[in-house]
Amino acid sequence: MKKYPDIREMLKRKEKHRRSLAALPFEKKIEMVFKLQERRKFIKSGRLVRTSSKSSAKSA
Amino acid sequence: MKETIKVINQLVKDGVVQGYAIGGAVAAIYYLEPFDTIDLDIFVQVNASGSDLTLLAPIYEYLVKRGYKVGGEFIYIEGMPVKFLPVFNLLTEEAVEKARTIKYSRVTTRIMRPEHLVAIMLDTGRPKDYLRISMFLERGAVNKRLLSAVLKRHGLMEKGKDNQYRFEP
Repeated sequence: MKKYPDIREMLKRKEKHRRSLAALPFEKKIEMVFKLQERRKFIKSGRLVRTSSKSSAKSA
Repeated sequence: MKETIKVINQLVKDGVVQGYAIGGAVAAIYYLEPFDTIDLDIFVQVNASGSDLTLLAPIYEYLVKRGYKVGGEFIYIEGMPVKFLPVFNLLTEEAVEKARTIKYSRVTTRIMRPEHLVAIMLDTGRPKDYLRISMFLERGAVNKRLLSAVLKRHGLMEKGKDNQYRFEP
């Protein structure tokens, strides 16, 4: 039977990280939301995809 | 967002609305970790009756006169898309009345209490609402006794029980 890694520690750390984010001051959290929005716009724009396809074309 | 809140506070000072509270995702972020959202939901108490569009007309007129632009369901105040919602039942009315007064970058604002946010989400009942309710419960961000009282007062106990399986880990 295939043995899979135990990720309980990893999940615990993620939960701890979420809690530390929740404990941040409201202003800081809203600042992070604005950054998330910028990231979403960037991903939606497809620029990342175009850049990687260009670089793969160059390397080919 | 600080400048946006200042403009909304001015709406109260100028008597356009009686009171307001931040609800929706931004209010949830106050109690939880940050997550992606696009707009600021403002629940307002207005001294009139009629359809929601008639109720909100004075707010839009006031803001448009001051140069703020309407785009789709939002009005952009100081660069932030804002959605105004009139209080539409006893639950939202109570949520606005009992909202917490907080400071955001030294500007006073009002934000709904977590128990009211959860009750409103349960009432609305979209998949994303259920997801956020489970976040509130998992993080221990609500007082369960207060939440039960709110749900009982607004006839949501049954819906809460019926959907409990969605929130429990």
